[in-house]
Amino acid sequence: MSTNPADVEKPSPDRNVLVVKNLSIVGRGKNGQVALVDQVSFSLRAGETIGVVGESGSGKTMTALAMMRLLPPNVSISAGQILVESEGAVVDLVSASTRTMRKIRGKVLAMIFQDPMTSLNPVLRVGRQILDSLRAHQPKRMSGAREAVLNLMSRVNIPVPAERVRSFPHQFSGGMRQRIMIAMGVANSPSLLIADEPTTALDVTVQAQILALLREITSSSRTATVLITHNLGIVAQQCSRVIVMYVGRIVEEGPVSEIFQRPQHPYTYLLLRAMPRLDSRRGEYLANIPGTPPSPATRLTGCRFFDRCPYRIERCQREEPPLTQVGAGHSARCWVMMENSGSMTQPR
Amino acid sequence: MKSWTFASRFQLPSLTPVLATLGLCIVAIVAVLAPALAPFNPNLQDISQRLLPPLAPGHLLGTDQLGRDILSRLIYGSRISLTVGFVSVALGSSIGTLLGLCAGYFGGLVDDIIRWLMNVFLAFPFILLVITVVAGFGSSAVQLVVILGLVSWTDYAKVLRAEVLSVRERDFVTAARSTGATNRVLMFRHILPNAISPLIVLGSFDAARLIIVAAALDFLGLGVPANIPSWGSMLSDGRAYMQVAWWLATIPGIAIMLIVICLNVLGDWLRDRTDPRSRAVE
Repeated sequence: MSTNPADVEKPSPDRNVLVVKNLSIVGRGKNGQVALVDQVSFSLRAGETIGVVGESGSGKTMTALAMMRLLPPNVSISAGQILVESEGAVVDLVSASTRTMRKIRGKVLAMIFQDPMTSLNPVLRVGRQILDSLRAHQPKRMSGAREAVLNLMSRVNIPVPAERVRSFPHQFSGGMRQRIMIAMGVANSPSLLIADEPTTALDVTVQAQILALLREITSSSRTATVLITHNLGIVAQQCSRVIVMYVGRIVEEGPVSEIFQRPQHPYTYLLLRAMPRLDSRRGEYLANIPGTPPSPATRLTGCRFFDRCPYRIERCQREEPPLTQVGAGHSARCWVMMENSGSMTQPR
Repeated sequence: MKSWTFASRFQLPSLTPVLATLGLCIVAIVAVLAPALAPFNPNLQDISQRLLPPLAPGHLLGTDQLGRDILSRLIYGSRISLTVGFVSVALGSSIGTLLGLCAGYFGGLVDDIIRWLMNVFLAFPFILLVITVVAGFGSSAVQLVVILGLVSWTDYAKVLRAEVLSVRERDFVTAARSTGATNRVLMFRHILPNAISPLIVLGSFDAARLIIVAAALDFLGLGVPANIPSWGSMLSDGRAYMQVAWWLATIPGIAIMLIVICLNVLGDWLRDRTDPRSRAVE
């Protein structure tokens, strides 16, 4: 598909289904360009689920939209590569044509959005919408279309698909609509599924069902998943690796067990401490991180977490720490950690 | 807040839109069945029976200066009014829908070209255009309908373009795009059905407007040829006899007024139904 030899030269090592290299995203505002995502790199193997966590404005949704090339009009990719495999060739999505992107969306990459209440067309029957996403990558005359739609609906555990296929979205609950969205997403068995806070708009019991469904569907088809969330509990249960983002930068990444047991970046540590726990005492205040993330528009010289970091040292204000490896597949971006020779001692 | 009751859920529309719809249906039936309903040939002249007042024996609404039966001419004239009203609106709204959808969806250069085209049509003096066309090609009903359709598309394009600009940013459009939907599917299946309701309202008002415009053109002698009875030309012919036979101009005038009122009432009702801002607090 890609004719650019530069793309073909880079084979995807170790069956990576997605390689993001130094992705930078800028937004154009009234006061010039603002870096929303800054040199983000990560890769994903088949069947793997990676969690991307961070506060609002950390750039996690922008990273996801960039992968689909669905960024809003005033936001664009300024540098980097997003490599996926499509029809046997490696394609760089950053330079792919609109036509190529049309063929890749839904077929190689699929996305599940945050709010199932607004992500379905209100005037089309759900069966029709599933059929449409199915047909976007099938020959014009498709045999067994109805069976395929019913099949997908039962795969996402919709009771009595034959009856519900003719329902309109408003006749479904939020959880059911998210099931429909998942059915539409996996209709053409994409190799990568991007789920952008798929359960944020749902209530807790439905959340668990939807996450279980996502796990089941992606593991049975070895679909790689990028799960964007701000809920660390979901990450712990769903992902094998996690990326922590802060104001457009990856501040820490590593296997879930590592991150949860030995967080190396103060931000990750504080995030984990801010999680409500079952064994917390009654009347105990939930820990929080004072302050708010800086606006991406302010130009920072040092570490982006400097203002809010309780462990900051003088060096943090002067230079930004590099992403440094601290263990197997585990790296973080912190001077304090590095000066303690690669291990953070967490002060109380 | 009103509590949910069976009656409030299935409330019947108020009486006026029902009457308006009924009125339009009657006109439509009359137009279709004109040959069966009209007591005389609308062009049959009988000089001995000229300028009879309404309720004259044999002529319910009287006769005109050439002794033609006014009721028959009124019945046949409804055909032209309805055709102009509905075919021109269909033509204008189709062109406007297509161009407005493209302008709003693609934006950029396509949008610029379509808006430039709209401005050209808006700036061009309409009567001059009609005179030019009639002078060049003569007058016929088909031409009238086409001209009216061609000059009315801009309103539809303007309204739809604005609507598309907001609908295309909605989540389900992005979601559909993320499944690999083509531009055609996005435009016609996702955006258009969610953006079209203001056009239905606009169409009903536009039909009323075009019926008046067509009558005005008939009045000026620029409309349909004289051998086809139309309300506009009846009005124009009757004008000369206003002092001796008031009914010649009054009867077609009332007919035009009634059909326009029906369309406007219907349009008002549709607007209130489809615009959540003007809907009464329930």
